[in-house]
Amino acid sequence: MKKKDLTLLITLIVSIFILIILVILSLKTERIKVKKEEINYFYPSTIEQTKEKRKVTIFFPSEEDSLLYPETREIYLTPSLIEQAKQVIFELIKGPESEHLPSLPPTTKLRELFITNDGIAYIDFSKEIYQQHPGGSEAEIISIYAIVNSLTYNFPQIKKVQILIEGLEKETFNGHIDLTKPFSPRFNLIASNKKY
Amino acid sequence: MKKKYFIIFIFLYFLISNLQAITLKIRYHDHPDFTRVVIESYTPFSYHVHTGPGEISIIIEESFSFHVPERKIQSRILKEFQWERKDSKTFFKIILKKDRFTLDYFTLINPFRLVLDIKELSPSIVLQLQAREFKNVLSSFPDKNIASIKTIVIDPGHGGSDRGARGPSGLLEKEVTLTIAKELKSIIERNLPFRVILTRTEDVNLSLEERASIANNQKADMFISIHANASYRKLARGSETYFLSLHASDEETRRLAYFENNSDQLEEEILPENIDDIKLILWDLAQTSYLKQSSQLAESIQHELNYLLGTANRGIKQAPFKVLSNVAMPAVLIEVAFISNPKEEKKLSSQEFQYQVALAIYRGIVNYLRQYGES
Repeated sequence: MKKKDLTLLITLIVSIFILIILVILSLKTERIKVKKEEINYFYPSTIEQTKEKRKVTIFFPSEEDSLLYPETREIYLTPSLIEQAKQVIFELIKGPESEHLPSLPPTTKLRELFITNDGIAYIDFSKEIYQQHPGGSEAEIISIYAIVNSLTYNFPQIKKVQILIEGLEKETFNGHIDLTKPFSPRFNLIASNKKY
Repeated sequence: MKKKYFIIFIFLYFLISNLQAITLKIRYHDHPDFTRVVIESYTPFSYHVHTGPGEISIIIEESFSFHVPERKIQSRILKEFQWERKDSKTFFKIILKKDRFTLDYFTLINPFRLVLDIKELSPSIVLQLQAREFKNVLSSFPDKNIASIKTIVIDPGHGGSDRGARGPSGLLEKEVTLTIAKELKSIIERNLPFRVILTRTEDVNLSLEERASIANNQKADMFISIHANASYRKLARGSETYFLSLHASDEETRRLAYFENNSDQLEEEILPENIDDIKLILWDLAQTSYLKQSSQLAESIQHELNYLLGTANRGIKQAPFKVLSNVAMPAVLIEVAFISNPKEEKKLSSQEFQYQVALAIYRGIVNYLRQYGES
């Protein structure tokens, strides 16, 4: 009798254990599925490839100091200002072509961008912008003003830039610079052109 | 004829002996351990000795002139002697080559001598003594200055799941900031009659708003947030002190202008029970009215950080820091060093460096109070 009881108990425990593992596994796979569905970003391929192009100046940090250094890129001269602004952000995310350093985590995705009538550009980034961010005040200042200066420098219609993350307003990237209000450009962070 | 010479002789004798009496002789000598300066006089004098960074001032309550053996001083620590006579007092100053030193002084008689033993300090002794030194500085404050500052809130950056920046070999910003903050608290409490409050004393999550509201609720007179910097740049180094720059959004500027322009009117018309509402409206631009003091505090602290740590001067900077914007008192955010730089990460992990940083911030606070504390 006792032996039977014991084997019954053991099989019960083992089966419960297996059940738990199965549940956990299924939950995980479910999560992964949801994640895949979520990805619906705007990639450069969505941009209309016009014949005409224009030059833009975008900004990256350098090992030299804490200033921003310009690089030039060619973008499609789309009739829509929003599409042009998006291309500038794509180029920023792609990173520098010279010895400069990146200004945003390369895994960052641009989710959406729109510009209000009074000249505020709202840019919605994916969460990688803060999750993959090195943290620290300097890195935050560099990332923010690389975005803000790159947009305002090339498009006089854009006066200010508001950064959103995953569609929402976020307080800061990693505890430093206030993201809840739109940024005006700070061109004094741009290294003087004499060096070029 | 002879009598005449005799009188002149007597006269000259008195003159010379008198001259001797009012001339102080200065001697100095470098001993292996210390440098001794002796001020010798024929008559005893009363004096006060004061020390400041790199100088010793002696105020003698009589009018004297000085006799220094040679013009150019050759000494390990002495740089220059200066003196002037004013209002029947003599101000004698010894300028030193080193800012930090200890001073022992005493008098000997027959002849009357004031002996000053000056010892230059090894860095570790410097640290131990600075606290004492500044107690003296503070005792010379007018009382109302001390009374005007009562509470200092220190905010160790990050904490809990927000670990802040991470150094290349794994040092966490949230740990460094907490140690420095605790160290700073204990230095202040040992030396100043102030209340010091930490926004967090453990490794816990704390929102930026909570940090600001702790300072506001405690009616603190000063807010100091401690951080370690990180950058895309591997070689970024040095410390920097920030104060708030406003986003200068149109709305805020308008509101601010409105309240500034109508302040007289407001004071008359608003009933006491409504004042809380007004405060509430103004709360999110709380820091605006303290920007000047915040910049002075930042400068004072940055000066000490540059001086004591020998870190590259990155100066004071302005940026729209969330934690500073809601604080209604002079407020700064200190980026002690770059945790992302391997060399500075190593420094940041050392107890001595953490203590030095705390001490530098403390000195910055004291200097700020001394310079600007009156208003």
